[in-house]
Amino acid sequence: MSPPLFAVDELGCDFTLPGGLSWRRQYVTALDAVTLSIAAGEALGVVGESGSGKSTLARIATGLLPASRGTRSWLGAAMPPGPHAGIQMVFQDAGSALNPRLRIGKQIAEAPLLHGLIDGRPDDFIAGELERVGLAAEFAHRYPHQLSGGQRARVGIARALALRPQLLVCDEASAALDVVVQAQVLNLLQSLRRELGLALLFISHDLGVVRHVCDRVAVMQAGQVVEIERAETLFQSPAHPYTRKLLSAVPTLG
Amino acid sequence: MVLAVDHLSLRIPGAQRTVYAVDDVSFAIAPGEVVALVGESGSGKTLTALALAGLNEAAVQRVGGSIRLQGEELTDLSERALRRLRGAALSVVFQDPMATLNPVLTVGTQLSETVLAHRRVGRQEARRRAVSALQAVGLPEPELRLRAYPHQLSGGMRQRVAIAAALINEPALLIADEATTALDATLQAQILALVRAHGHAHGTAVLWVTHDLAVAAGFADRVLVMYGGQLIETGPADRVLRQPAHPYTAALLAAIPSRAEPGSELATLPGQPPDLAPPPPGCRFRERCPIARAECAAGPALHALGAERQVRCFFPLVTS
Repeated sequence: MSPPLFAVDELGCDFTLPGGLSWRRQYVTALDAVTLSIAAGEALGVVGESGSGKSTLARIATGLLPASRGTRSWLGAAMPPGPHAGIQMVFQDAGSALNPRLRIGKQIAEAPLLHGLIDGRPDDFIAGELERVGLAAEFAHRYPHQLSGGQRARVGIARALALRPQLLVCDEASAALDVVVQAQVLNLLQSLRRELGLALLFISHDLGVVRHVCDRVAVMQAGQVVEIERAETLFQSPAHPYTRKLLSAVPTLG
Repeated sequence: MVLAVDHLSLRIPGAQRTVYAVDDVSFAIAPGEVVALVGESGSGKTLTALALAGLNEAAVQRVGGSIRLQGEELTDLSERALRRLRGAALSVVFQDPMATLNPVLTVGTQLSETVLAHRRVGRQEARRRAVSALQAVGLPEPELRLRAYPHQLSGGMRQRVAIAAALINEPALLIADEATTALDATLQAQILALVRAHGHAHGTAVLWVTHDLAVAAGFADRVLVMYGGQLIETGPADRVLRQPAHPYTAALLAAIPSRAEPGSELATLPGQPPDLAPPPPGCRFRERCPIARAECAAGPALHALGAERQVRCFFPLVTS
């Protein structure tokens, strides 16, 4: 069997609590022995309450945060600490993830220029990247504050895709959007997956969105993965009591 | 009726353009009734809700309409008189509890303060009411929580404290603006159940502003849907959300992922919400509407659809 695109093994992460006057340092364990893998082109969802470790997992997977324990691997090979060009991230609040003082085109071309993927005249490249996410080339000259929430979300995706990643980590990427705009962004992610064969690590507290987008789902509680299962099976017959509790709390529209 | 809003219109004058943010909104809420005000960003739902509490910024002008709480006209009241109402007859819960709670005062001090500001009771009694208010919102060990500062509580606990503060003087009207949007599904479900039970038991009228139709469906007795500053559909929650009459309500429902086949293309709308400076003539949804016809240029009024529903559309998807 060929190795998965991306895997983490026994991943752990501790944060030091602000100590106050105490001599003894206090730790909180945000991630505890998390093991999971993502095949090329697969969408893996991660659900759980706030504080369950979802975002910590996303940040460690992307290399934005060092792990305290455990390893990451890419196509079976151990990964050094830090970012990897094949893994890019889309953040929840595109408004604050974008640089307010940089034109959209510059933000999209910045990383590819740095990595030497394109040369110094990137106009055609930027136009192509914008078109991929359904925006006209003229958006390259605008600033983030001139865009609507949905357009900013598209720019956030375009910027992440500009480095041609094989794995996109989405941390609550559609959570702040209105339902119609959210539907547009989810449709875009789905079509990009088909077109580019992208794998997704899709973190969301919205179980309906996860069910719609993901092939498999990991359920996290207090830093641990308590259940990992194909989406269809998980939503139909959840095995873990915590998953059942999570599913029963979701307001539904009959 | 606890609350009666009639022909409320709000606008935000600017140097170059005036935004006609809320246009001719009328609705009423009965004692114990839970009403959800639903719409997307910029639809005017928050401005409408905050206008009831007199909490909009000075730039937002009321150009017409009346707001009556238990028969008393609120639009004539001075700021001083409004302050006497807020926290007593009417209270508001916002999305972020840290914007409500004072970070340097304990929970107990803040809750007691709310009682002492409006009721002629002693400190002992105020403290007793604080404990029972925390109990009512399901906070474990309320006596202990009284001594805690907001930063020592989790986000869900803080929002429950904010709701306890809102309910402690048994208001006639509770207004909530996206009060559970930032919370997990499990916590959200708990808080909605609690507010609904409290409302029904104490006859509190509840106006719940949300962009989440699923919240409205499971929780509200009635829904009001806003689009482009106008009410476009109102009626009993179960009927409006099961069989929407306005094409916009139908589009909102169709865009929800949990209702679609997993992995399928979600239904969306073309274009953007209307620019309200000034609003376009005719039906404001016309440009994006899948069933718009030439007649829609005239602009439909909000009219009755059977006994309990209203719709602002010439061609509603259900007939009375």
